[in-house]
This record gives sequence, structure tokens and C-alpha cells, in this order.
Amino acid sequence: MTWVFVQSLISGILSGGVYALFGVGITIIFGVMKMVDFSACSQLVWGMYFTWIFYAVTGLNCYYAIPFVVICMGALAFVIFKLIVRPLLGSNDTSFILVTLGLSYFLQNLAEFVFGTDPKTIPSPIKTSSIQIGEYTIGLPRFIAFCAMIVLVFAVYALLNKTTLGRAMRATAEKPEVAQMLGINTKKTFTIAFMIGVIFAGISGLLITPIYYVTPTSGSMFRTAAYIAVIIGGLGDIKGALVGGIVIGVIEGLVTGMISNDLGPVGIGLALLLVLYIRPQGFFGKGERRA
Amino acid sequence: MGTLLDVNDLSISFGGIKAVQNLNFHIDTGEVLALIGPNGSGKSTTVNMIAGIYIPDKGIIKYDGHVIPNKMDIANRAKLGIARTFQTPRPFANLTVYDNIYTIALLHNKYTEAKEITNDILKLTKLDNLRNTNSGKLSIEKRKWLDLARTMATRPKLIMMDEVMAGLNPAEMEASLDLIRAINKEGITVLFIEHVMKAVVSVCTRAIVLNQGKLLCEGEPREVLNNPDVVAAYLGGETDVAGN
Amino acid sequence: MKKYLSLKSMIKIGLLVVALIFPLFVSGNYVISILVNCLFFAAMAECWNIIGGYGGQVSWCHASFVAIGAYSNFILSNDFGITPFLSLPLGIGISFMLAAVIGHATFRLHGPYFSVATIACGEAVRVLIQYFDKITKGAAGIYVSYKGADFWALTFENDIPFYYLGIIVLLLTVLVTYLFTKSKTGYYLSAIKGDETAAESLGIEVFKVKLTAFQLSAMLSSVVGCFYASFLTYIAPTSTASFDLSMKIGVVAIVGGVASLWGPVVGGFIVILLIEATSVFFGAAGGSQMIYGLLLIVVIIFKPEGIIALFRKNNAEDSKNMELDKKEEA
Repeated sequence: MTWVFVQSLISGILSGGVYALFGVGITIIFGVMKMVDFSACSQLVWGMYFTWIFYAVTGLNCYYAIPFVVICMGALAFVIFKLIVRPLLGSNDTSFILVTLGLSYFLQNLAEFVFGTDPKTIPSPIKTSSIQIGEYTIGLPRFIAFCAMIVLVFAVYALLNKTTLGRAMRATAEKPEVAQMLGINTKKTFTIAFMIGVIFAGISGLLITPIYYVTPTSGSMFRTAAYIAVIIGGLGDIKGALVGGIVIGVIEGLVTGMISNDLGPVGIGLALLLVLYIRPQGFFGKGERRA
Repeated sequence: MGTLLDVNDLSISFGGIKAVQNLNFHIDTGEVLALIGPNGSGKSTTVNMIAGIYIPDKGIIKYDGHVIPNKMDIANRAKLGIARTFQTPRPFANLTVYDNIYTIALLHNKYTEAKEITNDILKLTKLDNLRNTNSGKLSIEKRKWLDLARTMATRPKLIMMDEVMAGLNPAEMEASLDLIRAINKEGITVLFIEHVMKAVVSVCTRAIVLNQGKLLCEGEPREVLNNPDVVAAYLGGETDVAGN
Repeated sequence: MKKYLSLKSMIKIGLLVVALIFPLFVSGNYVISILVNCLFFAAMAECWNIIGGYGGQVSWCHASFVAIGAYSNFILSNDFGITPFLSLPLGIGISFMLAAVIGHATFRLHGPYFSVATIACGEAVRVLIQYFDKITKGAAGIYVSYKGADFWALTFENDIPFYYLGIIVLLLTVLVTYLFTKSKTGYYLSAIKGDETAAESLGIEVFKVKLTAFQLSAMLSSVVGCFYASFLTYIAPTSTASFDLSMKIGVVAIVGGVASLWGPVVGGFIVILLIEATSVFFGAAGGSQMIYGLLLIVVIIFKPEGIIALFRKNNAEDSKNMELDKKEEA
């Protein structure tokens, strides 16, 4: 029993790392634009497919595909921003939710149209290797994904706090009008924030290719788990996305490991409702009644 | 005439900045009390605390003889008869002028009564000819009037008017003042938050002045505006002091 | 003015008459079954419209309510031989409670919380249906037990009875929606959609109103789901409780026109027929499903009022009043 518990805990923390990474992408976009990007889970699918294309052409290990995926996702983000997000800037957030969900559905089915429904795999020696600590097993791909997440989250922290671009982004997040008066190009800041968010989704996709099959619907588990993680952590807070991701990963790991393999979504759904009852603003959200 | 609203030792701070400190004032039933002061002096914050949008750190708000508990929500305060307008008017932009008022009138009345009341309010606020216009398409002045008209439908005892005159030209202002007098004549008490001192002098019976979250002085509008402390507080401000 | 109105209602009555006699002129089940699909999707979208359109609270778990109605029907009729009509209260009751749970957690908040919670709960319901496979037959799904044409069991030889049933169910949802919009709660809900803070400050109990609307929408959806299941004759978690179905219901309503009585009806016919047509060229999977996403994006960006706005006379009254307003200002 304890073995099951600890093993579930470990795998929960590790898969929570991917939720956290994915959640940080959503958080960056929300932080700057105050909009939730619901298309991120399909962007993740495209990240997986870009990785697969890279593998199919070069035959190299998925981690070599990082620059390729970053460029492809950046380009995709730019196009999406110009065509879809920009016309909606300044409108209400319901429109944005609807449009990004439409986009999500479109991208997912476009992937199905182009690549078909057959699951694709990217063979690599890392795939099945694992680290053994005592009686517990840690899958190497999950471990790498977790470490990559830590590195990238620190990179984002540094970006936001130490660079001019980061300061511009934070200023835009606080008060867009004031930022504009200070000579910050808010449109450009929005574009960059959106691109970073989409690239994060793509990288998350890349990192899970050794763990999951590449199919058009691989993103659907992120549609629930990762968004719940962002919300229970506190929308718009990077620490929150990190903690929320790991908490959701652990809950999912424990439920699937100890109760039933199928009930993961029920566990995290209940966790969401519970957190919204007790602490609606999430772990790190600011609790204040607004005018 | 008794006291309708009694505010005692009201304080609130946001992130260490004391927005309102130990504020005491009262409003008598039926009067038009002006609440004035430079930008950022805590006028709107006070209104928001009375309306229930902000929860004060300390202090007691007594309304109609009863203490309003901090946890009473916004809607229930409105039901007691505490109404307010917004600095930027907030019509239900998806509804017509008529439906804006009718919806609120339904809160306290049956369908047919609500219809009559809506028509009465439309006449009183001179929005009758715009009744079928989509409220999102109204001019600023008419939006402000619609805000007032909607509060009338809540059967208010107290209306807190947050800068109704801002952005209006002199003719519109005159018309709005008439409307406010008409509302007051119906027996409704008014808390009048304003920067336009001409309007304050013309419609208010009493004025209180806030500065940096504290009560600066209190009295007859004209007297108050000639008070050296008030003039000093406003100096450098954009406002036309002393009512010319 | 009066003449114009009566013309409008004449067109509506004409359309209804055409719809009623239409099956007499069609041979073969294919066309009818597509039309039944249109009718049921229109009805589901009409239910969605109550909370998603009039209330502006975008729900992505309406498939769950449809599934609750559908499963109540099949489980009671297959295992206990109870007519689907008597399974309605069960579906309605469960939907009511599920909506209460979701609403209680999210309706005190502004922002995307409701949408995320509905996605999560929709997923949880699908998983639960799969998990309790003793009752629900799990992922394998349930077939209706066909014992010959029987009205009370809702089993028929062809889809023509379902066509008429679909019309009745659709008109029922339209009627309920109409009555709702004319009720006090309906008015309050529109006000909340317009400006939640203002509505609250005027004394509208935002939380209660949203919850009531959501529960009504959920209960009505489960009624539609019950009859839809009988038409499908086979239900499975992936076909009735999936996010895809929730998405389609929302898209049909939004494309047709949110917060409009007949918008979802227009949407049902246009969207479903369009998908049918494109699936001929692109295949049923992937290709034609892209259309849902694409339609949603295009409508929101270019015509947020939906397709039904194209049918309306160009808001003559509004512009007339605008002029009046301008004159007064001058």
C-alpha cells in the first residue's frame, strides 16, 4: 500500500510538472492580456506533430527538435495573433473564450485531417529507460520533462523581472493605458506574450512525445487538468501555475494509482469545485472584492 | 426629519494606502448632501463601502436606524433602498431604455404595476421618447439619466450620485439639475458627489469635504467653499472653487 | 408596423406547415434522419441558449445533461421496461442537481471559471458513465431493445415519427425559452449579461438568477436528450457525453444567434446541413469537423449576433431613435 502511494505520488509530481509547464504558458498570456487561451491544448498537439515531422525527416531524437518546434510554434502563434486575436483585442472575454475554443477545435481536427487518426510514435532509447531509487521507479522522459519545466519557469521569471521586455510586459499587465503613455508598444507586448505562451504549449507537446502517442486528441487531457491547475493556483500567477500543476498531477496520480485508472478526471474535477467553494481566487490569487 | 444614514469612524486602506480614515458624517432624511473633495480624496471609495462593494476595515454604517453588517451583500443593500449611480454610467447595453428600467421595476412589483412604474419613471426622467432605443447607443448625458432612472425603479430611500455632472455641457447640466430636484421632491435623499461646484451650490442643502481620506469640514455649501482649508486642498486642482 | 409583424408570423406558420407535410414528399429515410438531427440539435442549442445566450455564461457541459437524459431513458426502459416518458423525471432530477453543484462553485465568480468548470465536469460525467459499467455498459454503450413499433417505448420502423417528435420537442424548448425570457428571472438574467456589477448594485441577486437559469437549461437539455437517445437507438459515452457534443451544441446556438428565440433553430438547420454537405467531400472525421471551429471563429469575429441577424430588417427603429437622440442633443 505505501509502495503504491509513494509511487503514485512520484509519478503524480512528475506529470504535474508538464501541467505546470503548460499552465505557465497560459498564465503568461492571461497575465498580460487578461484572457484565457483555450486553444493551448490543440497547440500542444501541433507541438507533438511538429516534433514527429522533425523525427520523420531527420530521424533524430525528439530533444533535438526543440529549435525547430520553437520556430514553428512561434510562426503559428504569430499567424493566429494577426488573424484571430488582434481583431478581438478590447472586446469582452467571452468572445475570446469562444474564439480560442473554436480555434482549438479547428486545430485539433485540422491535425486529424492532415495526419489521420492513427497514433504515431517517435522511437527513442530514452523512452523506456528509467531511474531506480530503492524500490521506486522514475520514468526518464518524465524526469527530463520535469527538469525542463523547472529550467523554463526560472527562465520566464528572469525574463519578467530582469529584462526591459519583461518590465514592459509587467507594465502592460498592470495598466495598459499607462504603459502606452510611457511609450511601450502594447500591441507588440501582447504579440510577444502570446507567442511565448504558444511556444510553451508546443514545448510541452514536445516533452511528452516519449510518453504518449501522437494523436489529434492527445491534448484533451490537458484541456481539463492543466486549466484546472491554472485556476486552483490562482489565475495569472506563475507560482500558482507551478504549484497548481503539481497539486493536480499528484491528485490525478493518487486517484488513478489508488482508486481506479479511469477516475482521474473525476478527482481533479472535484478538486476544482472544492477549491472554488473554499478559496475562489486560488492558492495565490489576490482575494479582494472588486468594484 | 430623522437621520437616514449615519457613518461612524469608517476606515479602509488598500495595500497600505489609507483611502478613507475615521470618517464620520450623517445624512438627514430628504436632504441633498454634497460630498466633495479633490481627486483621490476617497469620495467614490466611501460610496463603494456604503454600497457594499468594498468591505471597510473598521467603522459602522447605520442606515434607517439599523446597523448594516459588513457581510451584507450588494443586492440586499439595494433592496433596503440604498441606490447608487456609477461614475461611468453602466446601462444594460443589450436592452432597450424601457427594459433597463422595467427589469429593475420587476424586482419590487407585479408585471402590470412594473409597467406603470416604468412609464412614470420614463416621464419623470424625460426618457420617454427614447424608450425603444438600445441603451448602448445613448449619449453620455442620457446614459447618466438612465442610470438615475434605473435607481428610481429600486424604490430607493437614498441615491448616491457619483459625478453625474462630469462631461456635460451647461445646458445639459441645467436639465440634469432639474431632474435631481424632481427626484428629491419625491422624498428621496441624495448623496451628491461632485466636482462641479456650481451644481453643488444650486442643489445641495449641506456639504462635507474630504481630503486625503479625512473629513476636512462640513457646513453650508457656500460657506464650505470659501473655507481657506478647502481652497487650499483644491489649489492646483482643476476645479472651479467658490461656485462661479 | 402591425402589417409587418403579421407578415412575419405568417412566414413562421407557413414554414411550420411546410415542415409538417414535408415527409409526404420524401422517400427514403436518409433525408428524414438528417432533418431529425437538425431538429434535435436545434432543440439542444435552444436549451444552451437559455444560460449561454441570454445569460452570457458559456457552458461546455451540456452534453452531460443530454447524456443524463439519454441514459435515464435507456437504463429504465431496458432494465425495468419503463416507458421513456416516465424516465424524464429521473433525468431532470439528476441534471438539476449536477447544475446546482457546478453553479454553486462558480456563479459567485466573474471570468472564465464557469467555462473551465463546465469542461472539467463534462469530462468527469463522461468518465463516470464509463466507470459504472454495471449499470451503463461502460464504453461499449447501450442499444435500445427493439420489440416492434411501439409509441410508449419510442421505437418505430422508420424515422418519420421521430421527425414529428423532433418538431414537438423543438417547439417545446422554444416555448419554454419564450416564457422564460418574459419571466422576471429572464429579465434579470438579461440585465446580468448586460452588466453584472450594475445589476447587483440595483438589487438583482446575481447568483440565484444565474443558478436558476442554468438549472432550467440543464433540465430541459435532459428532456431533449431522452428523446434524442430513442432516435439514435444506440448511445455511448463518446457520442452523448463528450466534449465534442457540448462544443457542437454551443456552436449551433452561437452561429444561429445567441440570445435570440429563433437563432438556435436557424443554427441547427444551417450548421448540421453544412456539416452533412462537407462530410461528403472531406469525410466524416477531421475535415468536416473543422467546420465547427471555423464557423465559431468567423461568426464571433464578423457577426457576433449570429446568422439570424442577417434575416432581420436592419434595425430601422433603432436608427430612427438615434436620429431623435441627436436632434435633442443639438
